[in-house]
Amino acid sequence: MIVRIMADAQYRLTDDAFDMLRVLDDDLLKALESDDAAAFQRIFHDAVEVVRTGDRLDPHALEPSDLVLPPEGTELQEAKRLLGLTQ
Amino acid sequence: MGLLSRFSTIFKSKVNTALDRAEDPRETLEYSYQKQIEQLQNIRRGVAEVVTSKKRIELQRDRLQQQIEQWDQDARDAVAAGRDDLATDALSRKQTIQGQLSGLEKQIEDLAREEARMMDLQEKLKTKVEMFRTQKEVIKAQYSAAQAQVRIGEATHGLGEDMADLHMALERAQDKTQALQARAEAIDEIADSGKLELNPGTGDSIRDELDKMHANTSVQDELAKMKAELGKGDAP
Repeated sequence: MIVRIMADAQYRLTDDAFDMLRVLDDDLLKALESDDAAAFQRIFHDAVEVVRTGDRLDPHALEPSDLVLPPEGTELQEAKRLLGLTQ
Repeated sequence: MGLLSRFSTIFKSKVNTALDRAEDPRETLEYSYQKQIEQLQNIRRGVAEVVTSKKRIELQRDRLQQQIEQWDQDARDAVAAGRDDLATDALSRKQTIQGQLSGLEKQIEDLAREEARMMDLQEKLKTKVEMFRTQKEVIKAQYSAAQAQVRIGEATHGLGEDMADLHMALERAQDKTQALQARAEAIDEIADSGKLELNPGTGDSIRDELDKMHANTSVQDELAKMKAELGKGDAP
């Protein structure tokens, strides 16, 4: 699976790593729903770390991603904006 | 579906919309590249303006430095003439300006650090835009009209992602540069108007009174030291 971290790079993840990312993905949504900025920040940081365990793709590679992460350090409010939940 | 999945869906649909907008995706890539160049120029211009503001603030800092030296000399002259009252006033002014100076120096340091960060970011984005340019040419060369009627190739989608990613990074960099520019201009304006505040009242009268007392003590200390240096009376 190929995952992109915006403003960074694309990474090729193993199935195990991708499964781990799926779990964190659901946790992120829960953090967003409960408006827990601290939890969001922690889980998002973990998600970025999991993606970075993958092999970084050559920047010249032109492969579509299976999953896209907002830039590293994205905070809850910014994430809401990116999802079109707030202006 | 989790949060990242939702975000990915939104991101990809944006890429698709952008690629589908034009009859020929090559037009989209070309347009996007022109836009990137424009954004890079805006960032470069913004950083250059921050540099200009910073230089003006540095000139203001030098002026404060000269004023400090002048007040110090005035205080010495007053001590030599046996006018402790005038020396106290001169030292009090000197210390006020010293406070302003250290505030300004901190601002200059902050600006220099932010400016370096923006320069760095600008270089990275420049590299990415250059890469986009070459990749766009590759796609354009591979692309045939026949292919367009069937589907937009995977590689085009891949580059479309790069395009959207780069667009967002450039937007963020532009915003940051603008914010920094505004900050530098604001500091410049305040420094230029001579309205740098030192110890603006805290609103707590006891606190303010104590601050005033400390400042006073520090002026007296400096006066005593100066008198000792000049061999005028009671050493501390």
